[in-house]
Amino acid sequence: MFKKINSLKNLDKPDAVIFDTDNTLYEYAPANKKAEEAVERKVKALLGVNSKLYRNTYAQSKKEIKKQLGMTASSHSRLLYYQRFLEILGFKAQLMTALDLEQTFWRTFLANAPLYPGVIKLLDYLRSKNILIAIVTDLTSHIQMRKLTYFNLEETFDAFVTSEEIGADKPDYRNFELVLNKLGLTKKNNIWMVGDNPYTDIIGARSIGATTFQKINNLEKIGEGKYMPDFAFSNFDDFQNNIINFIN
Amino acid sequence: MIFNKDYTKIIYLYKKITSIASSNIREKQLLYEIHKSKLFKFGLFIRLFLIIFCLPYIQKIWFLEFINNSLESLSINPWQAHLNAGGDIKAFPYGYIMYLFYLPLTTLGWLLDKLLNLESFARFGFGITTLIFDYGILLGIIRLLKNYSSKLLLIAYWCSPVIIYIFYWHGQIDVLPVFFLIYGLSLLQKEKTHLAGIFLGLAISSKFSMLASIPFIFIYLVRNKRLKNKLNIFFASIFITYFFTILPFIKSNSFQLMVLKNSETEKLFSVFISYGYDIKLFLLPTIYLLSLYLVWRLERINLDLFLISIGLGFFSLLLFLPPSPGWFAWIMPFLVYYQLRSKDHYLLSTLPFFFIYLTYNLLYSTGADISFINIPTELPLQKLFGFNNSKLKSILFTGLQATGLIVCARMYLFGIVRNNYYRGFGDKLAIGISGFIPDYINDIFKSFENLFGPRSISFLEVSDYKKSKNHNYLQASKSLLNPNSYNLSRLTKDLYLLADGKSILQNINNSVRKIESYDFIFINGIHSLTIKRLRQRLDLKIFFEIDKELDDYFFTKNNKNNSYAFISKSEKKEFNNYQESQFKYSDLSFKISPVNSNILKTKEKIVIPKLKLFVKMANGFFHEELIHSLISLCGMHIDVEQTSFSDDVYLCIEGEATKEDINQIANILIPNLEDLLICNPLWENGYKGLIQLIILVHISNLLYKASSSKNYV
Repeated sequence: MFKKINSLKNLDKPDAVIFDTDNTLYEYAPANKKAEEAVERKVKALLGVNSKLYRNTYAQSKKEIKKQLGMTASSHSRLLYYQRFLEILGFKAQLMTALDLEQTFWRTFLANAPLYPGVIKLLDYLRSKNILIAIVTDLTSHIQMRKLTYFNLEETFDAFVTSEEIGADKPDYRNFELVLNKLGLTKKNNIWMVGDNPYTDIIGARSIGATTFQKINNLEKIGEGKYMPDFAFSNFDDFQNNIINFIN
Repeated sequence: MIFNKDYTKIIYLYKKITSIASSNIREKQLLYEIHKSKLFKFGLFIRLFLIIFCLPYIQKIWFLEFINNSLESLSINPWQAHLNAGGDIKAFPYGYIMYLFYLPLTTLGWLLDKLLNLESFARFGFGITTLIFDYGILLGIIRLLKNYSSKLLLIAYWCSPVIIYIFYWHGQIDVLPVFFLIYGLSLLQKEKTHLAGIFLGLAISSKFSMLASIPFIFIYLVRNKRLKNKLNIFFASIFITYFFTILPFIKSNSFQLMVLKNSETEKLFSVFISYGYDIKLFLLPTIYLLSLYLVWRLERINLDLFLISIGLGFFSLLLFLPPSPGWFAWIMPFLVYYQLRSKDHYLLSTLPFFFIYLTYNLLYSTGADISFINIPTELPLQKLFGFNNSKLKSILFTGLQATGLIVCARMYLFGIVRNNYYRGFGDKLAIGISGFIPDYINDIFKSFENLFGPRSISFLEVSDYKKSKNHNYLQASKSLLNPNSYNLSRLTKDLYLLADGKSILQNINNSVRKIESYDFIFINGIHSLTIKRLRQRLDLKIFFEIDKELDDYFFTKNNKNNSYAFISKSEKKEFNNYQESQFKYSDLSFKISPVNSNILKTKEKIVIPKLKLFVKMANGFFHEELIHSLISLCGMHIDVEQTSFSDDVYLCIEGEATKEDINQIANILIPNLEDLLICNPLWENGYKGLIQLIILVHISNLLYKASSSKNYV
């Protein structure tokens, strides 16, 4: 599926295409679910904490960390979630356990996070057409770099920006300005933004005047009103087939 | 909104169904690709078209009639009800499980037919049941295959004219036992032995001929270190399931008459060579036993050969039985598995067989009645067109059996090649580990038994070959650091004997110890790479070094003061020369160093300092994939040093890797890992695990290189 949502927007060959990472290049939810289940099993084996207690306490620790840090990269840190989780349960500063749980989470997560079909083909295609490609993503740089390395994309992008560099998550405009800066482009250039989240990716990309593409996964809805993207698509093969004419 | 709710339910149902095929997200993504494929939709369309518009002759006169009779009389013994109604004795030679699974949808259709005074819905229900299990077989094959081309899978199975012919035109219902068999095998592979046994029990219960697969499964389990200890549970599950599903009707005369004593059983002895004087050689049991023997004589069987061997077992039945079109459904999943694993052989070996099979059966077997054409298409084409050429029939039959034999041969040869993926040496793999190794590190090599399984490694210790028990009275040398203190020629001789598959006797402290020859031989200790003849027999030479700063942590003072202490500077120099030469001869070397040497200098008591691992290995081998995985999966720090003139690469690895990390990376780096290791291998944590991993990649590469250099076909 590839749909034009904004009838006023026409496509021209872009100077750069910016991609979000999580849930855009790969499906986030199943990997996250598997990873959380693996941690849950480990917590039960290591600490004897049952599933219900684990889930409730983990949700509480996540909420507290998010409230404490606001919309920053560290607010997504699993290490902080697990550290707080252990503290709430009265285990105090069990640093090794927190690190172990974090490692279990990301190891399982990556093992269960295959790239969407067509991503590599699209990136290769854009590079072959001398179009700059970049990543703008939330979360800490270390784990996002590990993800891209795992996907064998560590040398694919021309620029890489995480919200850790700015100190604020998307849709903060500084994320997008920084990526333009790294690419050596300005708002006057023709920029495309590909992401799944209407709130963070679509709104954020509009701050640099980008043409926005929402990746629709499963039953997700296309953004409406001010969150409305210019285009929406459900898989990267359709995306590539529909942009080929404009790029050529 | 209503549409959205329904859509959500459909997506939920879809996810539930796909989770049957796979719990792995990557596999689910591939399954999603299959469902989206035009080939899948095409195959589904053909099936639905045939279900709606065609009624296979045998379904009309046998199966639907049988279920109809049982429903009309509301009897719990359908065989008795069928015979009471004057039905054909050959109508349903299957077990109760077959009847139970076909009953719900057919009954629903039957009720609708009664209500609307039609004769369509019962057969739709029957056809849809076949479709469900047909799709189930596809999912089962997907579960068995790890990497596959979705296009090839759909061409080979889902769009296969043979499958469509058997289940939807000819109308056989062997789809159910085959589904249970395939799904049971996939569960067995995933080590869910209880469930696998239940599925196999259901397969045999629904069609007794599925029993032919059991001896092959038995051999596989006996030969498989991973699954051997689950043999009892598996067979107990099969027996209990079969017993409970067959028990209720075992004493029923009608069941005995229609199922246990059916004429199909007689076919087993219908092909024979007459030796005169009323002596016959029955070909089917002979060939079946021969195929069992061919599998039995293999020391190790991997999944590919195992599945192919079951297919061959069924093939041997089919080739020496009078033609029975539906029975070819038994071999199809195995043939598809073979086709997908051996893409090169696909067209040449199987297409002639499929072509002749279809030609023969369209001509001489019953078909289906097409509802919108007024021609008796359910008749064999030979009867429909009124020609009777027995010579043509025999020629086609000969062609069918000949092409079938060729497919069998190709399958067997391919299975042997794949089976030898890690068995190329034919003889033993010898690994020498040298260096001044403390016991703490020495345990790593012992821990390989936790990966390869017990009774898989013969261990030889250089220290067991001391020339004198009391080092104070050594004649050749004053120190145990000197190679002359060891009987290295005896060690070499023992290595060659073990490598030849012979056991050896060692005399240690006046007690005799027998060392059996296993698949791997590990020689461990200082000077295990010192002499040339010993090195020549070693397939992998490893050198181990501990940073001098760590001596206090790894070697006890007793050791240092005693046998392993240097007596003079010249002796130390000599020993260092030996070490250097061994390092030079090594294919792979490890050095353990402290991360921060300053901490060691404070002389505070630190039990185990933080360590880093230096590795020297061949350049251009697998170090890039290793680095990639260690950084992305474990977040480790790695320095790489490689000069453009060097054949070696040096890695410095720092960080903590857990055994789960190591296991995951091993699965990425080593192809067909399950063929090499036992079920649930126990990896070590930290740098010990890393050493295990790196050695194992080298071993797998050696085994693969040897197998790929041999020409088996």
